Amino acid sequence: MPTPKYTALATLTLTSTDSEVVFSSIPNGYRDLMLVSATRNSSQSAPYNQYRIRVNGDSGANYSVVRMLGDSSGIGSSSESGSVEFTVYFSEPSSASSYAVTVSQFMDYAQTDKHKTILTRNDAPSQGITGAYAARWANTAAITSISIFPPPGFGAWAIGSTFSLYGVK
Amino acid sequence: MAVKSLARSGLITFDKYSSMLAGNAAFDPSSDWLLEEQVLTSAAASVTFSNLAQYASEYQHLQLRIVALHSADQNGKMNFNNDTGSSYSWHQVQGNGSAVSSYGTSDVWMQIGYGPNSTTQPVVSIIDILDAFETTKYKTTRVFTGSASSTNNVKLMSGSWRNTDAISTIVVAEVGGSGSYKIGSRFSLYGVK
Repeated sequence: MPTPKYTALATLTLTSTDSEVVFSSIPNGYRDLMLVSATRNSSQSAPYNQYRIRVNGDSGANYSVVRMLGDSSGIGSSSESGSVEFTVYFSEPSSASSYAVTVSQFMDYAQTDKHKTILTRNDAPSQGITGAYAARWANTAAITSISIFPPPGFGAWAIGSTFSLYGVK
Repeated sequence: MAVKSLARSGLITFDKYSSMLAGNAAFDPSSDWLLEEQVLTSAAASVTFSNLAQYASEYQHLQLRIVALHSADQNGKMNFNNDTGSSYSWHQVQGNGSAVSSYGTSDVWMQIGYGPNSTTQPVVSIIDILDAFETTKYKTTRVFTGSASSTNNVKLMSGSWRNTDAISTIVVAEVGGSGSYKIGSRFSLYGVK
């Protein structure tokens, strides 16, 4: 019998700046998770207006990412492996009036037989940048927490930034 | 003013509720529904979703979400209604970690995600099939796929099945004919109203 696809798990809208947003105690009753964010850095400009993700508080060298980016001046691709977090290049800087939108799909997040792959689309309108990312957390453990933060020591999430987590059946 | 207390109404038993639902489940007006799912408990050369006509009256679009463990470093492929003729076109823009490239071709299938030979590192694909049951137009697909692995890639793809038939069957497989998806590979089909 068909089952509703999405369940809204939690939404956070910042009323004060915050250096880190954490979704914890994530239930394991879904197939995927979808994280939708609208973010701006409270004080930083490029290149520090980044959007970083860690899962389960893991700060070990367990993250890999491959990126494809485009803006008005060109296109490019880059990758990293053995990183201590997964970095999306662009949130909006403090000078912007807009918020960057980031949608991440954490596929098979609760399965314990495979590494976790995360597909992300990111758009930063004031910078004219669009990006697509595939990331992997090299761990078979189920994801129970997700942390989202700008580069440590470089600002915080601005007031009005929003973070919504959905379960996908 | 006299107040009539219902507690003294003469009813023998009754329930009181603070919600108009009165103990019933809330109606969920979702537009997106999980229709079917296959998670492999043994290796499989292909995965098929059939008899999809049963969904035609309620759903406009379909979405496939795949977490695939490939048997070789290779692409996946998809066809509709068991059509293996030259009825497809697909194209992609891809980043491989060092450069962005593009490609397009006519083919006997639609290409989907490219992943490594691995039991733990999947390639994931989100495939939108628009107007899947319309009989007035060719079928268009949109794919977002990637694998951060030895086969580093992130792709935005699109495809066309040049046939106006409603989609009744979807078959996915690895491009290499002898390849089989590994145990734990997962294929979920969703309907969008």
